[in-house]
Amino acid sequence: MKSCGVDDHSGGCNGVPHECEHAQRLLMEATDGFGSPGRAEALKSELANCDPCLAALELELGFQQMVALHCRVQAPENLRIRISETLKRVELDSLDITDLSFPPQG
Amino acid sequence: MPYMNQLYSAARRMTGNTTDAEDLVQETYLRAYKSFDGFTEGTNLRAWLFRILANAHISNFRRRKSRPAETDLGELDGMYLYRRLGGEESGASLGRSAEDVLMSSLTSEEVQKAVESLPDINRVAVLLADVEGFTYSEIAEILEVPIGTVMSRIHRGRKKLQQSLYEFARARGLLNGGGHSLQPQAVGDAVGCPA
Repeated sequence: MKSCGVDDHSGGCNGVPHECEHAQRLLMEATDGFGSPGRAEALKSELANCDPCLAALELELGFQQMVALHCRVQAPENLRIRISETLKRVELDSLDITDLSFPPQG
Repeated sequence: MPYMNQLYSAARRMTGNTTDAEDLVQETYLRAYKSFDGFTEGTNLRAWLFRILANAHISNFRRRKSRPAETDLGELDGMYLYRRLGGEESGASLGRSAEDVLMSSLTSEEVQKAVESLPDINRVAVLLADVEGFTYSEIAEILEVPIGTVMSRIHRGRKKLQQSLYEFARARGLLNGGGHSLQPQAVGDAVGCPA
């Protein structure tokens, strides 16, 4: 499978990002959170040469935002009270809980 | 008790019901108080709490043996939504308006149902990334898996989610026309670009 040239993304993809391996890789990296600020700028700059690629990126990011919006809920009012009361009532030392160091050791 | 709403949101989607979610959040705080010596001050408290939450969820899950740890999602198209809403295959009848319809018309119940129907490993990774906004390296620490595994779980989870929600929208008649196939296509279908 051929990839279009990094420096000629817009021409190479012919405006059809889903038919372009290079554009797909860029979009995957961009929608996956960019990695580092420097890399983010480089990706944005490259994608800016391709309107359909930017449209695809907006679609992916919009979708993620919609999912996040619908999945955020408030904890029930009484949960905090319930947990506080449980913490007062139980002997933490008697609970059988494995070590949870953070950051993970080793 | 810091981050309770975030922990509860994640627990609600992980467990699929309010009772188990409340129990899971309570277990998380009990474990956190019990293990606080294991937390290094100055590091990421939120990530630490989510690590405890994820560990507790996985332990409960394995104990119940209610679902397999790994589920094959099959081949998933890396450009699933774009092909159907914005790409050439969408035809003239879809495009921007279809994107708006999909984004604005789906109900919370539909989105939550689609999230909860994801295989557990993909669901947890997508929730941590897209709802909680953790970075890949944070998620790798929380789940104690390599970053490559995190990326794969998130990518496949997102694509499966897009597919499910697109199909919900079609079934409700929100999206018409275009004559698209709903069969997922492999990313490898890409033909590459002209040199």
